[in-house]
Amino acid sequence: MHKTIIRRLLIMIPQLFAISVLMFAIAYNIPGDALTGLTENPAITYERIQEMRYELGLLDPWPMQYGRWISGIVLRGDFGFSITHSRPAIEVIGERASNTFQLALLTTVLTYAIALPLGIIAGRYNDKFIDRVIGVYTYLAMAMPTIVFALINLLIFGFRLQWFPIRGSVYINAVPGTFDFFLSRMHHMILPAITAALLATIGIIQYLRGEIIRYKSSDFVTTARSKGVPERKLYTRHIFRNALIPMASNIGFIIVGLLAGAIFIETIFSFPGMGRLFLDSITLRDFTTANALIMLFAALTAIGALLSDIILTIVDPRIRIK
Amino acid sequence: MGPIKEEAAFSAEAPSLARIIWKEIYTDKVALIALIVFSTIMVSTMVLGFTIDEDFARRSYLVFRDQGPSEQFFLGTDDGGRDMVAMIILGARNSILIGFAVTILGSILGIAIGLVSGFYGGQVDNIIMRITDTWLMLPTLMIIILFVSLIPNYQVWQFVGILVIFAWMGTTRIIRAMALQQRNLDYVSASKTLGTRNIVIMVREVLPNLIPVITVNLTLGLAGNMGVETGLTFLGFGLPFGTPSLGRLIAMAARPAALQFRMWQWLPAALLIFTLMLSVYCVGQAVQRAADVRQRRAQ
Repeated sequence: MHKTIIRRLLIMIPQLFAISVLMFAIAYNIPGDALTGLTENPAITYERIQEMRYELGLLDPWPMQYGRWISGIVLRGDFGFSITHSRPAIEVIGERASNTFQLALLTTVLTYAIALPLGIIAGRYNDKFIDRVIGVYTYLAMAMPTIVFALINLLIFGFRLQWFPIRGSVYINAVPGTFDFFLSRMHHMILPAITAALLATIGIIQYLRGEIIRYKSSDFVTTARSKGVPERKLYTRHIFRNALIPMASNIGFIIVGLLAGAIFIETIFSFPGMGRLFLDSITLRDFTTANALIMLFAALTAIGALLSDIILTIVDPRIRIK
Repeated sequence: MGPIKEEAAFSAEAPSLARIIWKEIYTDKVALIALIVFSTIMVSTMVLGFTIDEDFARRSYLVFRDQGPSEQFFLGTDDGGRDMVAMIILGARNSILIGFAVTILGSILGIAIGLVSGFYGGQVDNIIMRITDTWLMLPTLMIIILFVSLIPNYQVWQFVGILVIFAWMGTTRIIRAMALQQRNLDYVSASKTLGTRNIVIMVREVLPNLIPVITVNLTLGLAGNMGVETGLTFLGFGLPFGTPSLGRLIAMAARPAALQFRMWQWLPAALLIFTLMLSVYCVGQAVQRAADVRQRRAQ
């Protein structure tokens, strides 16, 4: 298996290279750069801006700029210097990354906490009333656009009931490291996390329900039943054990999906994470940061998929990844 | 004699896919209602959309801005004093049309690539699937936003084109898997032996067998693509500025004052896109069951 993992990681390298070239070429062709904002400033002449562009290498042809950028990443792990923030891009991202990762982690925990019981109930009592109710929920969640659900939740629980803060990731006065800080963070994250989790559960619920129904009529369950195994034990020992195996492997894809949806959730809840940072970077023409973010997300997507495969082999020895 | 005759007549004429889908939808009352709701919204926005003077509706009248529902403005006005009823009709029409355009064009691209990849197999398949996998790795939303910023003053068709570039991979993977199964079947070998050209086998012989899968894919893709358009326009990286869209109307809720106190500006659009997507999904589920004999509910 180690060989497989190493090979999968090696395949990712040319893929990421291809993506980096494509993306850099696009970003280079977007009108404007990080210094465009300065042209509005009457104190700085156009000649001075051009001079700065020359010093920063912004006037070089794109293959040259690309070469500089990619060699910086490969040789020194340096994702470039964000002119807008006057700091290395990786530093700017680092500050926001922990916010996004914490939110993604909380959302994942909530997703499983909601989806597993519902999926088990729907499968155990399929076509009964409770299954119909859960079915209606999955239909509604599937059709619900993230932005609409997030706005409605923000309006009801943030503005009207005032149960949760309407923006930010932590109270300004909270001291890092204290328990209050942790509580404040949770308080800020719980509404965006529940919003995203309620929409992310559908896949797990439907899959788990299908698996349980499939195992119900399988031979080994019939055998166990005919041998007199009590119905309750039949479910806990035989059916759930088998049906829950693939759920663990879903985690990689869940995290990838959450990162993709982070832009919407973070925008609506004014949560300072990487998704918002990306939108701000595009608006400010800070392509160093934007490019670094895209590369990071692409790498995370690939790693998420690989993670799913690895977990699947660990929990289910019958499956070997090749 | 009777029963045999009947059976012969039955097997001679297999029911068409359209008939099977219709029967399935008719049996599932939820899907039937959903189909009626969706068709009603679609037809009425298309018809009403053409009766509205677009230039007039899009012009802003600051005197009337942010007005609540009244007799003159049934659903109030937006922040530019435009009539919300007209904006919703035009917005829904644009969102539906773009959803259809992206879905159809993306599917055609996806089917073509998947069919070639699966039918030829081997090295061709290998190369195409590597590219597809790389494409799937892209953080789509971010790249689309990057693309949209690339073109200053872009047109609607350019936006559709950008979405299509990122809407084919799912279809390709499904079609390719199906085509891989079909390529080794006897009818393909027989046709090859007879000297039929590959392109003819692919389009005239293999493709018809994949139509049930494609239909399912189209229906479910439609809802997804309407959602993508709305989301991007909401963020400000979707339809060109000034083009009415449900996403743009929902984006008015980004300001806390509008979110709380001027709900007529965004809630109708939000509920409309939800209704549209829900009805498409409900119909899509029935279509999916119709495409798989084991799942059909209709007799």
